[in-house]
Amino acid sequence: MTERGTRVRWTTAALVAPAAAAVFTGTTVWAAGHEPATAATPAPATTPAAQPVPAQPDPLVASLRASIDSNSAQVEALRRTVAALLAQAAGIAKGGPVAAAAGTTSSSTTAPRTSSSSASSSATARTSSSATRSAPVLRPAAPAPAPATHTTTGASGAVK
Amino acid sequence: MSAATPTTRSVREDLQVSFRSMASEVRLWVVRPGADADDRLGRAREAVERVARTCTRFDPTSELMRANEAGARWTVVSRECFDALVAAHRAHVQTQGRFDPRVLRVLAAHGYDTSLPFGSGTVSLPVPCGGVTRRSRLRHRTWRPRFDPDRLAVRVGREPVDLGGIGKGLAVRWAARVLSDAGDAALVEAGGDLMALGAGPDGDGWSVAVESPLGGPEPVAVLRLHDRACATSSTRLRRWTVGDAEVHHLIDPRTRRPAESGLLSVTVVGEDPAWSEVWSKALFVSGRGSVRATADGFGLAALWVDRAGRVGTSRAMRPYVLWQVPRVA
Repeated sequence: MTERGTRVRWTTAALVAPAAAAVFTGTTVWAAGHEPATAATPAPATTPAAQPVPAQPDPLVASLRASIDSNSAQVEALRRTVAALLAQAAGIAKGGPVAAAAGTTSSSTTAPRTSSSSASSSATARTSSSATRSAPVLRPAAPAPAPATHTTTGASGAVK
Repeated sequence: MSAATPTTRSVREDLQVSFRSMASEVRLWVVRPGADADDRLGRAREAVERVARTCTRFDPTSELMRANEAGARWTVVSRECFDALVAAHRAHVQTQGRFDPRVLRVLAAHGYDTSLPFGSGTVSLPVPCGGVTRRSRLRHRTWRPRFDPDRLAVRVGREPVDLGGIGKGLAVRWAARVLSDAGDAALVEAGGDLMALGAGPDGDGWSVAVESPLGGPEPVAVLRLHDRACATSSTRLRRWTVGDAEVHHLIDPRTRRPAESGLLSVTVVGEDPAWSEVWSKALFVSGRGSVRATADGFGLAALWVDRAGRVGTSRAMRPYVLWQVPRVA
């Protein structure tokens, strides 16, 4: 009895296992070849769903891109200003003539504080890229004259 | 509405007085003076001249020279001379010996025992008999004068003292006290030391040029002062030659010789002209290597020019600097 039961169980297992594997493979292949249903279940949070490309550009996105371009240009202008000021500080530390960056002021003033249109941002981007290609030009600036004074301190006995 | 509004005090022209004293040009300036300004100007001038009379080292009969002559014996002096010697001793202690008025013999050994015509060309003196390199034995010895405030008596000690610099600062201090309420603002200056009272003629402080120790009309800096004193120690003018050696009047107490500090001038801003004078001299002899650390360590507002022409400032000086060159040529 025991020996016969064992044989029956082995036979059943030998028949069921391939059938189960076949069913699993079949359903997997079928699932891979078909679109999943979308309406019934909410999309999981981690699913990187591809964004549909709208026919018209989103005005919010366009504004953000313009803002990015504008701020990038401003950062670039400030970077050039910092470089020029560092060069000027190095000149002062060496005791040489005081140098000022020729484009420092103009770059700072032309860099827009805010962007409201794509036209201005594109113009700024052009300025930025051209400035990146050429190094800031240093030119000696005339030192500011001493302000008017009421009196002088100095060596004892000086005749004023 | 059309009637003119009566004023409580008519606006007068500024009052200014200039005169020579303490081998320097002294100027007293009262802005929009009050009713008693003329009287105060007279008293301020008298305060300066009293210091010059009692504390000069060029008059052997002055109170200071009598006290020097007495040495370790008690000598009764005037209030001005007494206070000046007390202030000099306090400065000696508080600067930890960087300021030391016992330089009279050193200056005399270099020929500066009489008023020399500085500013009228190069002053050349022959080498004195004793030479100029002999060093005194009092190095590193603390000055310990004795004071009797009840009798206004002093014992300066064996080494004679010179109150030239601090005396000038004290004269400015005492004259400024007299002028403090003489008008809307006032200025007292004597040979590089000054006290700027009030907001100045224009209401935004007194603008004070710091002269270049190399000479020339261009200053090295412009300071803005409001109720502040200022003093400069510089070798630009009071320098002369003894034989082949070029010397100046700022004596280093450690070496008992003209300071070879690597500095050309030091300017100090403070609340009191005498202390500004003391510290400008003390920082000068401190030398180029430690002037910044010393000034910052004592919280002093100082500006200096070194031998290379570089201009430096301490942290406390920066708020006063209105304009400055990085170096002088």
